[in-house]
Amino acid sequence: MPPKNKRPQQHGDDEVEEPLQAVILTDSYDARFLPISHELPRCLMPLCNIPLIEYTLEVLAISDVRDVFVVCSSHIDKIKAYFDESSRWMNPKGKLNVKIVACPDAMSVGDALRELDARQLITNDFILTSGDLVSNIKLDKAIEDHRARKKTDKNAIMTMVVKEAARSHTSRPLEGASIFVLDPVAGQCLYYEPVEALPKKDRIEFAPSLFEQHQEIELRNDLVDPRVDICSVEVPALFTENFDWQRLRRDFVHGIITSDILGKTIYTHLVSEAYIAHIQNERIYNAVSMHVLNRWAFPIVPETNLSPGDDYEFSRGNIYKAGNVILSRSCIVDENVQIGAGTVVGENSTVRRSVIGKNCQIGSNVNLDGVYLWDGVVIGNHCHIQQSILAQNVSILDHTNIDHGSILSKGVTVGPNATIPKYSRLSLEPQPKNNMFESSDEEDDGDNGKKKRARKAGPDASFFSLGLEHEHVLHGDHAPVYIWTHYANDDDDVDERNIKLDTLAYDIRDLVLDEHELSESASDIGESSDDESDLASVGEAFNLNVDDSKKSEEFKKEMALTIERSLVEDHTVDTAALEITGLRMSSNGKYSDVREILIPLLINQIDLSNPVASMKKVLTKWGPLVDKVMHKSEDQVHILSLLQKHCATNPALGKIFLGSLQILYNIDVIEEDAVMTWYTTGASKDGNAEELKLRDKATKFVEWLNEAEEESEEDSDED
Amino acid sequence: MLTRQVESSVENFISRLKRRQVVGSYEVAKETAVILRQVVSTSRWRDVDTLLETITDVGSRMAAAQPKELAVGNIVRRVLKVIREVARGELETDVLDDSGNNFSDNSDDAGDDDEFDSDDGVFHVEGATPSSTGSPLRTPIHARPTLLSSNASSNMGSVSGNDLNALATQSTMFHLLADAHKLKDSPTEYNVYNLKPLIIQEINEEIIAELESVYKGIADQASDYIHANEVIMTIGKSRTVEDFLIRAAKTRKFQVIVAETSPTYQGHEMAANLSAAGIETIVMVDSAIFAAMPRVNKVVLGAHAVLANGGLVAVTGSHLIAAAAKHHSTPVLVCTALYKLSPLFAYDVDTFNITVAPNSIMDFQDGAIIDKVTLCNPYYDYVTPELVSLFVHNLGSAPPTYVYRLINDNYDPEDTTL
Repeated sequence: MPPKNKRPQQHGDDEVEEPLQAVILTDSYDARFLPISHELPRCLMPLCNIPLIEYTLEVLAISDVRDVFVVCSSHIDKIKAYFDESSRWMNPKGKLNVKIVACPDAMSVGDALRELDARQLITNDFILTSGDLVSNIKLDKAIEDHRARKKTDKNAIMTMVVKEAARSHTSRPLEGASIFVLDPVAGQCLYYEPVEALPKKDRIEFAPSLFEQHQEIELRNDLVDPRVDICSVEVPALFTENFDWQRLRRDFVHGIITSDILGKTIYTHLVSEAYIAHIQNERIYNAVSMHVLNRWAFPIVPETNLSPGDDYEFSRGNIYKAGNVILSRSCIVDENVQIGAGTVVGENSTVRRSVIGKNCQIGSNVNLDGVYLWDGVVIGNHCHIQQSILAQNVSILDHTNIDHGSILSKGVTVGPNATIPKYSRLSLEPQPKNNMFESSDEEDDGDNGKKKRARKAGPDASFFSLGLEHEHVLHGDHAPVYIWTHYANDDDDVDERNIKLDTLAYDIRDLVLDEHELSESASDIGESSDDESDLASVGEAFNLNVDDSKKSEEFKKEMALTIERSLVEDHTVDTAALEITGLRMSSNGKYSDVREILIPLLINQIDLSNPVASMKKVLTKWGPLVDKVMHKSEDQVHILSLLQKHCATNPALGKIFLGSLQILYNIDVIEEDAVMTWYTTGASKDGNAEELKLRDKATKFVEWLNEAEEESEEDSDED
Repeated sequence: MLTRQVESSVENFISRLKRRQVVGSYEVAKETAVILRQVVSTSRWRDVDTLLETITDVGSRMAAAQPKELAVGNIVRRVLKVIREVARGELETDVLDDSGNNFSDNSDDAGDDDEFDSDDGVFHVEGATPSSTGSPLRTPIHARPTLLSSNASSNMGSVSGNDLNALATQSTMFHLLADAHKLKDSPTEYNVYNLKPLIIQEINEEIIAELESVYKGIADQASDYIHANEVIMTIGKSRTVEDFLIRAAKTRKFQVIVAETSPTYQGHEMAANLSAAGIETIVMVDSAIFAAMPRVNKVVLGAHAVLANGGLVAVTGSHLIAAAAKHHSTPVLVCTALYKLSPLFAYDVDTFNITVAPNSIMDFQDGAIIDKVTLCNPYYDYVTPELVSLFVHNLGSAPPTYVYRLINDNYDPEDTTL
């Protein structure tokens, strides 16, 4: 037995590395899987008859993880109840130590992590994932790499695990992809940009300096991002610092990578062999279920019986049957079918590409294709159901047809003789009319508009011939069933069609494309669009530079004005610093630019008629500001060469060079090392005669520094 | 009844079996034996029946964790058998003073008779079974060990020498029933202190020590089966076969053709190892097995498990090679350790097969096509007993028709279903 399989306590002593912690975010903070997600958290939805969270915990259980924090924001009691009942993970003898962290106020991933930071729960590096991860990956390698990187690069704060998958792959979300710009050698992620499917986007922009810093650059859009990250302990703190970051990828990763003040780096770990997927929407739920039945995630397959008490057995054609299943003689169970314990399938029924939960009753002459029946579903005779999800205890009465893409929430009863059109979402609970799903004031307009679109989109006439008294309610010999309309996210600029793309069994023919989007098809590549200048069509690389330099010109001008105003109006250093930072952030400027502007302006403030006193006054006051625009020792060298350059422009200024240098040194803005670096390296030696003269002047100062150092060394020796 | 520590190591083993973190029947067998030894030594039991129950319970949980890994169940059955034997032997010496000695003399003879072609201790112990029943009617008892063995241990405690003969001449089934009430008052407790170390010692010597010597035991027989200038064909990577061939190569010069065993291509590794040991080795695609068979003198296969009927579960491609060998009347040798012998039987050829991820047949990255085709990647083949000429095990060799006998010798029929 390889020793790494031993329990962590046993080998914990001789290893320096502590086992990782893990954070499972059970909330997706989106509106997928409605209306089921209204009643059941996503992590407890069954995939192949096992709640999704079990798969996630399984992945963590085979990794070097000890503490698991299950962070929940909605359905907190349901998740707590689930863990209390399933003692498998809460067992103190078990390998994982699962704790539930309730953050009822969190509205986003960012909020949840800020909450974690506030509670100081994270004491070590951790795996951040969602409660809907399905994978057979062993994270050991990724963790090892992450730890090794941390030893050499303290700023490496995160490793994202990503899997390669071709563009047309079913495990990719259609609503949007991500562009990763990677350094293929180090695996560092240099730039990240989420790309939405619609409206189509034909360019991304990133700093050309990446090409200077890295020998090789890979731009990849063939990576599936299953949202498994190995994070350093400072990640939650970074969320707290940047209180406006909400989403992990779009805000955090993008923010970290593009920020030049944080100086943190993010790496990726490419997975090729292992299966890894994250059930982010209904379409992927369908795809992953089929992948599991097709054994891509082996050994995560139904007959492994992850949850205790299951007894699935595998037989040819990817058919999984639990022990206590009654199939009628004449029923046909086609390929890729899973049938849970206690289920009965009636005569002449056909089941294919479906997962059927425990204790379901399926009548005779029923046709199920691509259907997910959760536990306790009852289906009457002569029903036809296609590509739909039927949650727990749904009952479908006789002669009912359900078209593809429908989602029926818990306990819904429909029929008899009903026809449910495609993409219907039915629930026993009325759709909430609050802002979360639909703004109430424009409700009527919105609904009408949507219905019109629905009518246009497909032959939905049957939808209205159901004999509905109210547009949103289905009546019959059963409890009223509410039809949920498609939710619109009114809070941000999400294109609704992107969401539709990833609903269950969405037919691409139902997609409404605008005129100009159609013209952007592949055949048009190479033709320049009307609104673009010739320059742009020559090469987008130039385009980037042009934009960039134009922007930085404007920024510099603006910055000069701001600084000048601060100096003239004699603001406090803090106010000035705040203004500079604000401006810099709003126009995405660089600190090096700020320094280039600040130093000349500062020197110009010195009254040359009374150089000594004025110099002292100006530099003592504004020295701290200079300090605020520097972060690394190279920045100090940069300041020195700027000072040198500027003073060389005028003989009068040349006289104050040495004095300024000394004052900056005395007030600890410039450190000795920086002076030495500046003096000995090319930073001071290149340049015209005047500049070199200044360098010579500095020689004395440098000598004095050297002597001081020796003296202090001697002093310390004497001590 | 289990201490917390043992319970947690059992749980840990079960979850690792489920997650397939322990693979390979040898590793599994060894770990099972170690855990069961731990159970015997740490659990509290007042009589042998309790211990048997505990072991059966733990064993069935472990076996159910990975039903395709038959080695777990096999080792559990071996341990149960050892416990039964030790208990019987112990009772015999303690309670039946005179007669016990007599019978034990007999039993030694019986043991020698029993052995067919091996001279190892395993079958000596088997000899003790009839002796402990204290029956003069050895032959009929031998024929039906099923009914005797189970409660023999406990009834001995209470039955006097005279009754014994009478009882033994009765129908063995009746024997079982008649003694049921006597179990309760048999004072077996005091034996426990002596039994425990004995059982542990037996597990160490019989099972764990045997496991450690399986490769050697099989390889030692190599020169009996492989002759100079023969052409041997094999498939897959089996350490048993590898050691067997390498040992043969020490005295003989011969040629090995290794089928590459797609899609795992274990054959490549096997060939590399064999050729590193100085054997003339040819790697060949699996599809050429039939074409190459006329040149081959012997086929040597490894096995994942050997079933009660003499059929074997072996790496995929084994059926092909065995069928081709049959067609060309080439003898098929199967090298297998005894712990791979299972009293279970495959009613359906897929019963003990594992279908693994289809990654190696088609790349997952290929895109939408993977949802439009059905891919099947079975890891094992079932090879029917008719295709096998001889099993070479660590204590000798046997034809498939004799496997039932090996199973009777190794396991107690009571334990077939755990």
